[in-house]
Amino acid sequence: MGRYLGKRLLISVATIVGIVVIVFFIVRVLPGDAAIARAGPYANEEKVAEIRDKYGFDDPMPVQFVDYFTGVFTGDFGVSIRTDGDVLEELLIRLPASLELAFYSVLMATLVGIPLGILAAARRGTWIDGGARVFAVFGSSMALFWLGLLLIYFFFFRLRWFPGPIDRLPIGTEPPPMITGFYTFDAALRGDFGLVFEAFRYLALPVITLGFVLAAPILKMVRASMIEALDSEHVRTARAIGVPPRSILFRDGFRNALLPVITAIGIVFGYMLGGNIIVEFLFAWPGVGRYAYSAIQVNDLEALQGFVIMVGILYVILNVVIDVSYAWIDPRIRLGKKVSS
Amino acid sequence: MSLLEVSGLTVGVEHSPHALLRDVDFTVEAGQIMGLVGESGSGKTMSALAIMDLLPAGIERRAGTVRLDGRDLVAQDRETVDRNANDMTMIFQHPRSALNPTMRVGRQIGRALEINQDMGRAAARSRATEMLNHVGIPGADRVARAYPHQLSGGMCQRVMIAMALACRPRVLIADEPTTALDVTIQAQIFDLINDLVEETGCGVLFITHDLGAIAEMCDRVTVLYGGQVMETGDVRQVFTDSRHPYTQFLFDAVVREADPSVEEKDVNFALQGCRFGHRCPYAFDACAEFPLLREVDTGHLTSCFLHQKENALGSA
Ligand SMILES: Nc1ncnc2c1ncn2[C@@H]1O[C@H](COP(=O)(O)OP(=O)(O)OP(=O)(O)O)[C@@H](O)[C@H]1O
Ligand code: SF4
Ligand SMILES: [Mg+2]
Repeated sequence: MGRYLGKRLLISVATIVGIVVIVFFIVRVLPGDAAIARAGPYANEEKVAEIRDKYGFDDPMPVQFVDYFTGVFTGDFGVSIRTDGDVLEELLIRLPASLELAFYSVLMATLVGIPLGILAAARRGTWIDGGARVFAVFGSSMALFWLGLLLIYFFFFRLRWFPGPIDRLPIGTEPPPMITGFYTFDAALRGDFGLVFEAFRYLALPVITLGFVLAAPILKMVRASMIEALDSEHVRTARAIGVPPRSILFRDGFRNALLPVITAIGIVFGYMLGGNIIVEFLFAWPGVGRYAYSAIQVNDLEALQGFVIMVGILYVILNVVIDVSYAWIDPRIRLGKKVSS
Repeated sequence: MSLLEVSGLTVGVEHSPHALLRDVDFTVEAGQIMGLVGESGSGKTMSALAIMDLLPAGIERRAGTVRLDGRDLVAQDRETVDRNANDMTMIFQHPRSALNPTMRVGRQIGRALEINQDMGRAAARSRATEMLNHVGIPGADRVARAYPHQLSGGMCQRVMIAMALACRPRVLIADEPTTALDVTIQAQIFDLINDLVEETGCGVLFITHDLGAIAEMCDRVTVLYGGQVMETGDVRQVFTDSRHPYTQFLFDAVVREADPSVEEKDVNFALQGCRFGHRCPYAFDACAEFPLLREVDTGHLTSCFLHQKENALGSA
C-alpha cells in the first residue's frame, strides 16, 4: 500500500513536469501575435515593439523557457497581458467558482446516473432499461450550449423561476467571507441560509445543464459494469446459497462494479475541470473557464499557459485521488498475495 | 420416491432450435452419491445449473421437471425453480472466481449461515471459523479474514465447500470439486463429502470426468454425452455391464489409455437423432430419431435403439 502510493506520487510529479514543458511549446506555436493583439488595432510598430520587449517575447526560446520553467515551480505564472495582473493570483481567485460548479454538476450527474444505471441493469431488457438508454443517448448527443440556452430561455426568460445567466449572486450582494470559496458552504457555515438559497438559485441552471449531459456517461458505465458483475460467477454463488436479491444487487453487484464507476466519475470530473468553458461563458460564471476564454480572445499566452497548467495539476491530483480510492475499494489492489496457513 | 428426480430436462440457447441438453433424466437418492460423468462439453455443468435455476443469460430451460420429495419445483411458466439453499446448493467448478473478490471469505460463509441457519451475525462469524477448521484449513482464524485472491485454489475450494455445508442442503451438487487439486487434497475433499452424506443423509450429485473418482465415490452413475443421457444405473451395473456403445467405448478408451482419440474434445455431436450417432459404429436407420432411456435391468437404463430393438424382439 505504501509503495503503491509512493509510486503514484512519483509518477504524478513527473507528469506535472511533462505538462509544463509541453504546454510551453504548444502555446508558442499557436497562431496569432500576442503583442499585436495587446497593442490594439491602432498601435504603430514602435508600440508593438515596446510591448514585445516588456513581456520578453523577443528573447530566444531557450531563455523564455528557462524563465518560465523556474517561474512556474516557484509559483510565478507570469503576468497577463490582458489585465496586467499576476496570472496565478487571478486563477486562484476564480478557481473556487469553477470548483463549486464542477462539484455540484458531478454530484448531480452521479445522483442521476448511478441509480438509473443500477435500475437499468437490474431490469435489463424491460421498458425501464429502454428509458434509461434513451436518456443516455439524449445526454450524450445534447450540445451543452444548446441545452444551456434552452434552460435559460424557459426557466429564466419565460418562467422566471431562476435568475438570469449572470454571476454567482444577485448584483450588489456581498459574498460570504471566504473559507472554502464555495458560496453555498461558506454561507451555510456562517448560518446565512438566505444566502445559501440565493447561491443555489444561481447555481441551478448551469448545474442542471452540465449534470444532465454528464449523467449519460456515468449511467452507461454503471449499467455496463453492473451487468458484468451480476453475470459473474460469484453472483451465481450468492444465488446458490440463497442471498436475497436486494443484497445481491448491492453487495455482490454494485460493490464489485465500483471500480469502473469511480473511473467514469473521475473522467467526468476531469472533463469538468477544463471543459466547462462553454457553460461558464454562457452563464457569465466568474470561473477559470471564462478567464481562459477571454485569454484566448486576445492571445494572452501567459494566462492561457497558467490555465492549462493549473488544469493539468488538478487532473494529476484527481488521478491520485482515484488511484487511492481504487486501493481502498479493491482488496486485490490494497492487499498483497497469499495468506498461507 | 427419490429425493431428487430430474426428468425430461431440455435446455437450449435462446432463439436457436439446437438443444444443449435433451430429455435428461436421472435421480438422486437420499444418503447416496450419484455420479454424473461425461467428457468436456457434454453438458454436466449445464444440467446442474438448469436444476439450480442458475442458467446463464441467453440459455433457457425448455422442458422438464425437477422433483424434490415428489414436489415439482419448476414453476408453471418454466422460468423459475422454486428452490432455496436448504433444499439444494452447489459447489462450483472454478472455486476462486466463484467467490466474491471483495468480501472476506469468513463473511461469505457467515452470511450463508445467517440466511440458512437463522444465526445472528456474531454467532455466524465464530461458526464460520469453526467450519473452516472442519474442512481442514489450518489457521482458520487468519484465513477467515483473507480475501479469495490471497488463498490457493485448494483453499478456495474448501471455502466453497464450507459455504455449501453452511446451507445444510438436502441435495448437494458438487461440480468437479477436485479438478486441478493435488491427490492428497483430493482425498481430503472426498472424505468431507462422504462424511456429509453419512452425517446428514443428504443426496449428492457428483460431477466429474474422472471414472476413477466415480468408482471410488459413487453409488450410482449417469453417463452424459452431447447433452443426452447415454446410460444410468448402479456403478457396478454401468461399469461391468455397460450396454450403451458410448459407455463401452468410454471404458475401452480408459483401458486402452494411450489412445489419443480419448482426449478428443469434439463437441460437434449430432444435432439430429442419437447424439452419439456420428461416432457410433452400430448406427442404423432408427438412430435418426432421438432414443429415449429404456430400462435394461432393474434401475439400469440406456438410451440406444439397439437395446430397444432387443427388448422389442425379446418380448415378442
Ligand atoms: N453461455 C453459453 N452459451 C451457449 N452455449 C454454451 C454456454 N455455456 C456452455 N455452452 C455449451 O453448452 C455445452 C455444455 O457445456 P457444459 O459447461 O455443461 O459442459 P461440461 O460437461 O460441464 O464440461 P466441462 O467438463 O468442461 O466442465 C457445451 O457444448 C458448451 O459449449
Ligand atoms: S441409438 Fe444408434 S447411434 Fe445411438 S448409440 Fe445406439 S446404435 Fe449408436
Ligand atoms: Mg463443467
